[in-house]
Amino acid sequence: MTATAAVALRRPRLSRARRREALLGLAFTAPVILGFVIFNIGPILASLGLAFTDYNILSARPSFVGLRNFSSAMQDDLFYRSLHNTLYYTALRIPLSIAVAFSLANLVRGAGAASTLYRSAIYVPSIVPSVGTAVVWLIVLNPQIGLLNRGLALIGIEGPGWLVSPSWAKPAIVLMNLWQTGGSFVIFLAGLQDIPRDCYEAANVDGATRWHSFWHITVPLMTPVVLFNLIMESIYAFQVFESAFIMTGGGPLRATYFMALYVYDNGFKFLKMGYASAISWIMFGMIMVFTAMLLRSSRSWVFYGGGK
Amino acid sequence: MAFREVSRRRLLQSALASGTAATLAACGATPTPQVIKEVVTQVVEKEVTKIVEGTPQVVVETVVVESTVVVEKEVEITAAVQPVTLTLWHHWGGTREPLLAAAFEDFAARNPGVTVEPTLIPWDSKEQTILTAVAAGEAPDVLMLNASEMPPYALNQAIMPVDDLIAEAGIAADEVYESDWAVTQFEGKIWGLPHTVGEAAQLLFFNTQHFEEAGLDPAAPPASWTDLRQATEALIGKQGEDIQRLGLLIGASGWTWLNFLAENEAAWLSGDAREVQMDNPDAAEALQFIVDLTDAQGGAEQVAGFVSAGGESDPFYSGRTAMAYSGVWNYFLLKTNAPELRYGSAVAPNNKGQFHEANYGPHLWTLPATGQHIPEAWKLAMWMSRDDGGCQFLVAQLRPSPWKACNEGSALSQLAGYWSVVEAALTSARPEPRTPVFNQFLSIWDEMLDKATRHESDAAATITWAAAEMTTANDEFWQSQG
Repeated sequence: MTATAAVALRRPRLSRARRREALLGLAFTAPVILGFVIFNIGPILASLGLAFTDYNILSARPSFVGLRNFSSAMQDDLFYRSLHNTLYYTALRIPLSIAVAFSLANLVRGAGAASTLYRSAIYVPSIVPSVGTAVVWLIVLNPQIGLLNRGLALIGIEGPGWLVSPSWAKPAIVLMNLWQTGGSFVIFLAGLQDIPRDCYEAANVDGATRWHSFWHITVPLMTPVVLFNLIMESIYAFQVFESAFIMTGGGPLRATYFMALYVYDNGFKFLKMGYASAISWIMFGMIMVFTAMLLRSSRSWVFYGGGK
Repeated sequence: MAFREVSRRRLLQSALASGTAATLAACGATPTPQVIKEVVTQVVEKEVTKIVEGTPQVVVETVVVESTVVVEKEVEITAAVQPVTLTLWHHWGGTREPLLAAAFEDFAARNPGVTVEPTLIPWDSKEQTILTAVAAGEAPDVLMLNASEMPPYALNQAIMPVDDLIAEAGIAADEVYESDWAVTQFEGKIWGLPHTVGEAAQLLFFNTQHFEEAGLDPAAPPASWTDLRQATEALIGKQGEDIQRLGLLIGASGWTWLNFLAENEAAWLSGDAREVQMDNPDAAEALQFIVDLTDAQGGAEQVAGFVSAGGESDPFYSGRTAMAYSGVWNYFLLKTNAPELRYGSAVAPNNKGQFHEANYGPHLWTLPATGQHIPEAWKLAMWMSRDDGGCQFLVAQLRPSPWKACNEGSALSQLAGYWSVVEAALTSARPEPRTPVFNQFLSIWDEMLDKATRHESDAAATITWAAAEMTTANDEFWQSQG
């Protein structure tokens, strides 16, 4: 090899200043990385190990049982009930959340000077602590004195039992979660504000109506944001826990007994931490598969304006 | 009130005692007689002058009142060789915390060098808090556990058996009410000292004004299930289809289910916890009774909607329900939350046999196996159960103690107008078997009650289903133990 080629192949060494900069960067990010490894990766790997064991927290050591926890789940009626509840809730929540957040973002974009006020009003519920939210909505959804049924009564509709009705308990929780759609809303709003105005002006010149502009410009250009929110919403939806834990305890008649609640009960009440870990990894697998399917399908409906 | 605020004199006494103890510690710990002053609750007769309403007549009456007096007691104080801080976890929040703090202060005064660091564990999060602490080896020195929660801790040696300590302290079983002593035991050993009674947990509280309005006699509350059903139907208030007042707040949950089983002498589990026995006609009859009571008041959904509408912690306090099941703790809560409410109480009506409720668990003071200061922790556990600390803590709340001497020696029987009810309840509770899968059974029973009261299936079929679920969970657990 010639000397020139050898020099070309050799990696250029970082200058002292660049090396120092790199080390400083590592030093500043080290706490976060360390924290993530210790408090996230560590427990995640530990739960993966526990999923193959019989472990009740109180015993000194878990005992290895292979795939028994996973095969038990496949024969467990309550597991299937919680799975059904979770899928039902997810299927109801995701499209409604996306539709509501997107519609609100569209409305607020055109609100002019008042948009700041509307933005705050829509976002604030998403940062209210879950216990406070649950207490408020327990009253709103009360079949006798709740605001919702009283409002329906004004227009001649007899409201359902909501949280005390097995048929309406899940829709009630979806309704409560729609109130907290602020997170998706601000992301949609940011995406809408990123759409170039000249697209609309050009369409205007060609005689496009507002609906044409919305359907042929706004929607296609927002598909990447829709995809992102779809993925995030589905991850949250699969993990629904607090609202059921606080408001219904999984009832009535197990109607709101979601998978996350079943994991909690198995881990901390029934002392079957190994089985609880196995169910949480099944949940993880489901979320991964669903996300992969979404990403795969996105090739056909997501439009990246600047090319792929 | 049995407790008082810390006075300067008290502080000085404690400082003197601590100083003395420190000096003794340098020389070696020996018991030292010391005089301690404490405030005790006494019953005295007092003459009061009052005007008879509506007349100019003045009368002098003798009434029994609560009075506090400072007494001096000579106690032997053993200074700790080295200062010790004992951690203790409990569930006594709200108005009970100051009472507990005073009890610990007294303990510290009698045990110089020992301080108690209590932590309130909220009831809702107790499972994950206690379990994770035990798993991490960070359990406190003294832990308050309900007797129903005790078996898995005992099985896994997370808490210590206290048989030897009991024998050394000379504690006899007959110092405690029989069923309270029985439920401290699991697999042949004793796992803690009872702190509260497990009986008198399902008493019938009733609104005397509602009784009078409905033509019922408050002096003759329901004594049988038949009486209870009739009273419920007479007391319910409706406007059209809407419930305005509930006749009886059953509070049907897995916890109350055990009481209905005991009231009908229905078996559910063998004494050794190995065999589920709930699939029997008596259990089905008990479940049918709950269904009938619920239907009589409008059905499960309507009742649930009505109960949640109030937003208050207990609709009995606001008069929205005429009768309710609750425990002996309710007397203190009624005094603080609804002092104007006119109410009466009685042992729960039963259907057959001698029992009026189930004893599934008093709170116990237990010693986690990882504790570092066992002798001091044991002294604290005894202080808060058999000795003055526990007794005064309960008397201040007008609650009975599981320790007979505390009830017999205190002013409670004269101060508490309901004492005859509590006394009757203390000897009419069925001790229930301990099981490590109690939480799973509770979850099954919650669903069972939902299924039956919402008519998803009839009572007999629901009992059969529930017993099968319980058997599966129970067998799986005991098989895993080998």
